[in-house]
Amino acid sequence: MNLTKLFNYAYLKQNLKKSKNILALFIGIVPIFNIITMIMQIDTNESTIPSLENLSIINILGLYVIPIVLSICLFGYIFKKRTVDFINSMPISRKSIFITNTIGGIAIIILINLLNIILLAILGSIFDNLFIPITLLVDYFIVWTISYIFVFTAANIAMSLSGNAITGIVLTMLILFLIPFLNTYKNIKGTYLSNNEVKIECREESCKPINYTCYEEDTTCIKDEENNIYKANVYVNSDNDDYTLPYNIINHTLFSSKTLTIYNTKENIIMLILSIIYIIIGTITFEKRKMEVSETSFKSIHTHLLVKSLTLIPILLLTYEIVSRYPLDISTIFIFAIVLVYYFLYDLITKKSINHIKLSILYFIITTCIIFTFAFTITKIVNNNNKQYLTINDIKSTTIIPDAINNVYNFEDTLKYIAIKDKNIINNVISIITDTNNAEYYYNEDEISQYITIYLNTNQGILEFRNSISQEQYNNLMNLLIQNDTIKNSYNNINYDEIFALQIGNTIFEKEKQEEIIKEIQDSLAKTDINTILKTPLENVLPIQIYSYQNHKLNTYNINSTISDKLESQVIQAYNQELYQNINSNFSISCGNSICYNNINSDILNYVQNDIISYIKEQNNQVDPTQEYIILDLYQVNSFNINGNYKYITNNIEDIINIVKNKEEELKKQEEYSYLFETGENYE
Amino acid sequence: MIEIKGVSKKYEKENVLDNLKCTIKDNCIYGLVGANGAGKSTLLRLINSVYKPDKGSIIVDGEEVYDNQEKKKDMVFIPDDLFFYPSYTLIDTAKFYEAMYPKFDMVKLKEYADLFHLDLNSKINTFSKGMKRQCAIICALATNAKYLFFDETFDGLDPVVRNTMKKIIAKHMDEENSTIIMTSHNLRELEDICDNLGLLYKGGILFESDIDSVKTNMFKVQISLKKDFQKEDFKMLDVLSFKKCGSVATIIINDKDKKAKKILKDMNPIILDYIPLTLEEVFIYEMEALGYEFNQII
Repeated sequence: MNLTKLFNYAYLKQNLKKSKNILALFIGIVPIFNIITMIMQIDTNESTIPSLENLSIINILGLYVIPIVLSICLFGYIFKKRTVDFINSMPISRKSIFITNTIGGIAIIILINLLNIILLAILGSIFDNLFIPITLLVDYFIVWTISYIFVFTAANIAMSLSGNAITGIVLTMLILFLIPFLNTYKNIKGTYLSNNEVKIECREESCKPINYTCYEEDTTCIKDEENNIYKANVYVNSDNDDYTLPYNIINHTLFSSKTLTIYNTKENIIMLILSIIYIIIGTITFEKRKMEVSETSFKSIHTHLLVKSLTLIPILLLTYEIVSRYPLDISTIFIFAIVLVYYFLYDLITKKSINHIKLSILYFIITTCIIFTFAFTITKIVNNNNKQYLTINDIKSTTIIPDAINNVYNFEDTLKYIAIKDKNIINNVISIITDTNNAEYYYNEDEISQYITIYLNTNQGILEFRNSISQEQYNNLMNLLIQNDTIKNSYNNINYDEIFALQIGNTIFEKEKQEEIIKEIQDSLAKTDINTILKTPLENVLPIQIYSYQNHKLNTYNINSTISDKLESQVIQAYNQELYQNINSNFSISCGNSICYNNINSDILNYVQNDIISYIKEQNNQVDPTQEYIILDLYQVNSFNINGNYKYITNNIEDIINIVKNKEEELKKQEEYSYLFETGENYE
Repeated sequence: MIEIKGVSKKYEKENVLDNLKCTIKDNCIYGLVGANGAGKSTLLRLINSVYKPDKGSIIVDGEEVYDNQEKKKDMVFIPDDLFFYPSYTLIDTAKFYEAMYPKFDMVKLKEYADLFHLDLNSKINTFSKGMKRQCAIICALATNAKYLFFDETFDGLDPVVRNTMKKIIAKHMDEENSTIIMTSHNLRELEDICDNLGLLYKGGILFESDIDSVKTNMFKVQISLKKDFQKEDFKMLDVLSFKKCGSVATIIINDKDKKAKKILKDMNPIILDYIPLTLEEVFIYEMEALGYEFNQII
């Protein structure tokens, strides 16, 4: 086969020319909206390091629109008799039309994404506070190009089979979503049946919960406990199969609480292979298409009814769930009424007429029977499989994500990227998630607790635990994690070539501008015991965040600057410099280290803002890190930006104490401020 | 040469063409007539690969034409329901044809546009129905394709333009040695331009003939004899129709062996007037001879 005969540039040029306005709109819309979103982010944040997910918001919306509109623009001629006469009588074969349009569409998709990354790269180079690594842009280009091509090729098959654009869109959705949806239904069926409860068998002491209580009447629970079987209230996400990005987005939105990962190599390969298969199927269906079928849904009424019935599957499965729980409820009648209205409305939308009513009703009854039988069978199978029973050996790894707001340890940011296989840690995690006091920690405000998310990767799906745990449990877990080699290695094996930015305070610096600090971090980390670094709580150090883009993910490492005097000095200087640049703002002030907390009444700080700012302005910027220093946290307060968070670091501890004390004496004399002195346990 | 071999086409349950067989020789203007729904447009669509025949094949110059990209460079089709891209001007449309047809002659197109006072740079969608038809026809002629297919060719054209268009089409056929196939449900429209005519009825070609021969073979005569006479007195002739009013009879005679005129003269008629037959009359009598009521066919 001569490939040049399959691609007709002249035809493509004319075909694109006739839709140039709409194509120009769609080529421009994603990059333009992306640029606007980025500029808005830059405007509201001092510095921005967008993740692939942040950059992809507009692309996600575009994914369900642009490739389908593109397919309609290129193949829409087949939906009108007049245009079919015009184009199909031209000296171009059907195969050529299909291949030419497909290549043209893919070229446009590449153009859209290329334009997108070029504009983002330009934006990144214009704005000093926007950091987009090139590798992220490459991933962005790959994932969105493949995803758009995937939807486009699926839409092309749908258009080849349909008689009008609306049916084409419906069929595209069915091609993209129907089979994965049925698989998800099968997988998540277990979740609904389990009521988010999993039983875990644990015979070792280290995995048994500290607190475990069964209700007196709950004999199963008591019996299970005797057999070392414990309940855990977790979200069971059994649907951890690999799908395609367009389906994953919907799946995550509707059925999963897991964070959506845009870049997934396996998914990309699946989409690429499916795209090739879709192109082949599309070519065959387009060649065999009955061109006289236009301005209606399908040539055959049976095909029309079959497709209509397939669109009913999700709503019928939902109906089954309702009917199986509340057989005679009013909602059952209501939902059946909705289904029937939809069923006939579909005809009006796709065929502009309602006919073959008897046949339509017959199809409806058959579809309902098939779907209900399917749902019933799945329920039986899932029940029999008893998926919600696990032994400790079923758990392959765990990922722990502490609540970002309560960042305490250096390594908490890195944890979310690490799957831990350590048996001790997994045991500890089991003891935490089966602890029956967890719920109480959440509701009891007096109890010091930590909110945490734990994922358990089992051979029956992913278990997700989100709850508060006691501070003691949290600390025990962190102590175990500190000793974990995987976590240590994540610090030991930082790939410094992949680092593209570092952050001190609010300011993010390009790697090139802070090579000296990065070199110092690298040298200091090499000389320091990782345990010491990991153990040091964040509140006592001046952290530096370094960012790398590795393995298609944005990684953040919190580095304790106290690992070297030189590094500490550089960081103090950077913090103070940042504050001096913004010194004319309004601030609220609080203590930033234990020296501050232990020596002054931090409540008074808010009454001495002006005095402290005046003091800071008069000072030079020299701090000796080997001497004791006080840290003040200054929060920028204005109507536009509440994100500014600065630090002032000085060795002149006495000066700060005196400013506060003078004010304190003054306030003590005033009755209305007496409340400030009623508490203050830290104050000497 | 176009050979249509046993072509059938069904829309839903209705047979539009049923085992249609027909041959269209080169370098002629072939008129395809038939009532609405007879299958004229469908046949043109099948020849031009717009649709695929359910059965049979269409051979053009010895090659199967369906989806034959190379062969279709020699074929251009102007359908009944015209289509132009919404924002396109005549020159844009011409460029589209130029991109698709290797022998497209832009100079010729401009000459034709000038002749019909069609503005090359105005949007075609602002044109009247007749002007759009002119645009389509001149684009087709400018392709210099060997085979041109026009469905309801002169629909919407005023008489002056219609005549000019007929002349141009005939001239084009002569100069380019092309074959033109045109359809109409109106026989009179094709009478003065077509060389051959095919009558499509119930999915098949009911009758097909060379217009010149059909017209020369058949004639109408008004005759009166000295004695009283009946139809039987003309049994030596192939009488297609005999109507007598008083002493004058009007007879349609099929004169294949060219002896009728002599026989009539030898009967010493009082009146003997030869009246030219219209194509419609030729068809009526041919159909009647075949046992069909013409009015039911067209």
